[in-house]
Amino acid sequence: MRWIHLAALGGLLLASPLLAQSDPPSGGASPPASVAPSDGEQQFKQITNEFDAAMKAFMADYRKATTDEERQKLVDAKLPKPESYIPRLMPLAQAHPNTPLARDVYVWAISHNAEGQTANEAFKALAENFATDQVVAKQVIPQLQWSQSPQAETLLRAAVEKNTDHQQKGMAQLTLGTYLKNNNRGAEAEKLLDDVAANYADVKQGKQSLAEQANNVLFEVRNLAIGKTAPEITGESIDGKPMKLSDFKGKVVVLDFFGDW
Amino acid sequence: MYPHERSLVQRMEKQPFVLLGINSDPKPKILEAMKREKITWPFFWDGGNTGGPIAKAWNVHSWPTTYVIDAKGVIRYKNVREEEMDKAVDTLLKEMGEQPSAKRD
Repeated sequence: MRWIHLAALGGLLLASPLLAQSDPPSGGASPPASVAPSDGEQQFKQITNEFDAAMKAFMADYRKATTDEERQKLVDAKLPKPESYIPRLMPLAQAHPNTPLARDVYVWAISHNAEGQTANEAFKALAENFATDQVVAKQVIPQLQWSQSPQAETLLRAAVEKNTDHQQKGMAQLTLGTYLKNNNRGAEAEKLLDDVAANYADVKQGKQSLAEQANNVLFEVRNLAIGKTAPEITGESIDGKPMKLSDFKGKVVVLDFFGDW
Repeated sequence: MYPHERSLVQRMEKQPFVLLGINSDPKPKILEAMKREKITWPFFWDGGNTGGPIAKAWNVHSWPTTYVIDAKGVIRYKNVREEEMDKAVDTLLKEMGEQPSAKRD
């Protein structure tokens, strides 16, 4: 089961540089530089810096390791565990409810571990007080399409309902629709995604508009769900010979989208 | 992953079954992997990157993504791996009245 492990690790490794950029408070209301950060903010910085430093030290050793065995040992011994940092952060949020500090704590906790009771608590707090927050819109909402947590769904629904910002609302609705698709609730997913496809052609996200992305997911809901007839695939083998999925009709087919990485 | 896929393909050798890949690697990379990993099963070469036309049409954003399709062409399972995939294939073959081969490794 090595691949699961490496995939999880890959996620962490990818996550750390992202998290290294600190986020300005939402609404552009950055406090002037002359205002000293509060004790809570300082503690937040200190604890998260500690984590980042531990991750950096781990990464340096991990890169030097030459065998899988060495790597595994390092993971067991040195990979910093968010679970040991999050319990130190959560009290900061509880002591400063409804502040950017609380939001930062919840975002950090969810970004490092989106499952379990603490994450659920963080989702709930974000849904109540930060559903329209820009940092949440950027860093948390898009990740939630793969979630299976009902509390994540609560946050997505709050973001769809409360957002008045066109772009943030569209993004939240696309994510909620994709989440519902991934959790086998195709009928509601279809309704939400149809609306995104109709109303968000003007919002670009990456190369595609939200409407285009909604249409991609709608194609999946309508044609690639369990019980649907698989759409034809035409293409070529590695030798350039034409191939079709229907060439294999009458057989059980495992379709495997893969890459050698 | 390759070792599981190899054993599945081997176990199903005489069955109405195909493991059909859709590969997103640059050509030299997949040619090398075919030798190294003994990839004998058919696959579409999807243009050399993850934005290939087949992956795009099937809205695939994470790898591996798997679908198990029955003999009539109906999608029956999604994203099953390893043992779950074996079970799915066995179930569909049984539906067809085939005797899944006894050897499971």
